[in-house]
Amino acid sequence: MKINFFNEESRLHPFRWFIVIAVALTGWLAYADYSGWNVFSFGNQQQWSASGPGTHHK
Amino acid sequence: MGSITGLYQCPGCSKPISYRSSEANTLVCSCGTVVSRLKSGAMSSLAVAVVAFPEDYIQTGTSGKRNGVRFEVIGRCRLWLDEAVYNYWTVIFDNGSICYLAEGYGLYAFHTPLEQRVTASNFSIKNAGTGSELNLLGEGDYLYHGKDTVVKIEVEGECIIPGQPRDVRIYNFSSYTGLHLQFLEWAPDALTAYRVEYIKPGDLELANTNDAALRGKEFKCPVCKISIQVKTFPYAQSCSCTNCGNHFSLHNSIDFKKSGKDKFDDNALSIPLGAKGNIQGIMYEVIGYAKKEEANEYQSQWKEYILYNKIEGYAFLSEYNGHWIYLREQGDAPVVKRLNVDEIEYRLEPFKRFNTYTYKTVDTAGEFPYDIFNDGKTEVWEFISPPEMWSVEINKREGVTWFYGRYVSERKMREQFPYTLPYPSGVGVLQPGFINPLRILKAGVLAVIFMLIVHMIIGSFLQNKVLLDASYTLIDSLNTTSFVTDKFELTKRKSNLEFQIIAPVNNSWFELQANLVNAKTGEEFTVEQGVEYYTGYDGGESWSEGSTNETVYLSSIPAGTYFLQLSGTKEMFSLVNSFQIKVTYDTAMSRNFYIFLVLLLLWPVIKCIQIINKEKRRWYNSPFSAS
Repeated sequence: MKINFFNEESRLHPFRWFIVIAVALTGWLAYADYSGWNVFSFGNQQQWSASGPGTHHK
Repeated sequence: MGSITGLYQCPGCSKPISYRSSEANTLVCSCGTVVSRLKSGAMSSLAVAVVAFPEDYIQTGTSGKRNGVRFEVIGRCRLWLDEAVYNYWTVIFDNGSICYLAEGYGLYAFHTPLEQRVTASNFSIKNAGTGSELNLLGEGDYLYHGKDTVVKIEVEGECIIPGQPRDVRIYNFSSYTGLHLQFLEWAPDALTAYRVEYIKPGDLELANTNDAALRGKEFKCPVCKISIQVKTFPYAQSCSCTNCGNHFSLHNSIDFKKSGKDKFDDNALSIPLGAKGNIQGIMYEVIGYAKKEEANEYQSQWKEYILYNKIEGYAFLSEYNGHWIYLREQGDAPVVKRLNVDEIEYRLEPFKRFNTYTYKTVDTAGEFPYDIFNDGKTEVWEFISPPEMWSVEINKREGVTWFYGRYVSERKMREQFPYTLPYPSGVGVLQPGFINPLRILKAGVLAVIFMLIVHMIIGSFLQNKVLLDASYTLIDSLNTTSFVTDKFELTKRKSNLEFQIIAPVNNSWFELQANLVNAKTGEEFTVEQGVEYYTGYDGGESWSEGSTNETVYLSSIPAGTYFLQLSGTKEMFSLVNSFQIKVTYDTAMSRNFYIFLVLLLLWPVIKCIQIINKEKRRWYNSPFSAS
């Protein structure tokens, strides 16, 4: 089986974008899970610092 | 002379002649005599013609490889059939063994003499009917494809012809396991069996070939007197005058004789004869055109362009409603006993039955690799797996011929043939975009499992450290009571805190504000969560709303030393007097997984909807759309 799914002759060619999307979403999920990021969460959490609200210190 | 010296005497000119191969028995002497070496060692002349105009790509002296073993071409038999001309090139390998390399119309196949004993009788082989099965070797059935009658033989160099050829016929069989056999009947009941192995010309690594164009044949149209050039003679079997539409079929392997006239001489070609373009890496010239019409109530018309490349042979470009299909005859094709089935399979890929019809040719121009004017009742069956298809033509006289087709995009056609091509309308028969919904389902399930496994693996590495698990009593006289926890360390570069809040609310509410304060920097992260629960009795039925426990997260909290400021607020005069809180650090969030799951499944769902709509339009023109 041709592995390069962007090659038209590969059996996976019709799924090329799904594979890219699945890998990207899974990578994003893995990062969110590991870093404790609550994705698409708006408004419930507020952050304050000595510089004022919402300022981020890296 | 002979077997001792290796030299023989030509019976025509008496000059000494020698064979390259001990297995070849026929040789063309330099004087033009075709000589046959008998088993006794004596020489006789054969009443067989010498190849005139040897202009093919392969020639005597061409070298190549079969499975890495070098061979050289030392001669050929050219067999003229009813409507085709095939070359059986004699090739000799480095170890001295020889076999045929049969070639014609883009098909290449090694014909190796069969070593196994043929268990079927000559009578049963010669009298098999199209579609019948024979157990030829005692190991499984072979399907009979058809018979060809050889009308003329020409030879060149050395070849194998057992005895004086007479009433020569060819019988073709294929097994359901993909093996092919051919029987050459050189004389009545003198059958020689060959195992046929198809091969692509590119895999032969041919060298010392003849790249010059075929000389062709030219003659004057007897009706309008213009000159007609048949570029691919002798392989072209018919042609049409582009000026007056009169038909000409090859007669007696020599001349083109008038055989009719176009019903409608429109010559509405989108691609002119002589145009050149690259299809699938092969440079073709357009040499013929035919407009065909289904012989049924629909009378659908389509156009076919006949392409030619000296190495790859003939191909066809079929155009319908602006959609293009590239087709080539195949020797290695599906072996199917019955065509009246919903689906056939080729190398584990299913092809669904799309259409079956007979047709008539209503307009022609240029030349054709078969006699297009005598096809009569040729039945066509089409099986599709977009962007591919198998098309089979069945003719009582000519047997079964399989064509493999592939969709060519409009963009590629316009790139290669920059003429006024028709714009596509509707959905083409082979237009890509079809994916079997079961494959989409399988892909979706695999992706979900993959995502779940990754989510669980990451989850297994999380700390799930309980920072706080306590109950707090609220002061009755105050709506809001505040608490401060001890300091604790958050060690990961970034992570989350999960707050599980339980409050004994009953038709009341409680709200907790949690303030996570960095003890060193003063940075604060705040989250609020309400807990409310209401019940009642209305119209004879009890109802409830809300819950006595809630969960909320603080996310992406950097490492550091922190403490919590908790403020619990209750409804004035409510009976809520306490709450429980459990704070867990670095914990899995199922919410993330479900969000990504929905995003992941968008593609399969949207694709299925698109495919269902597209397939409805594709199959609208098929009489088998219900299957």
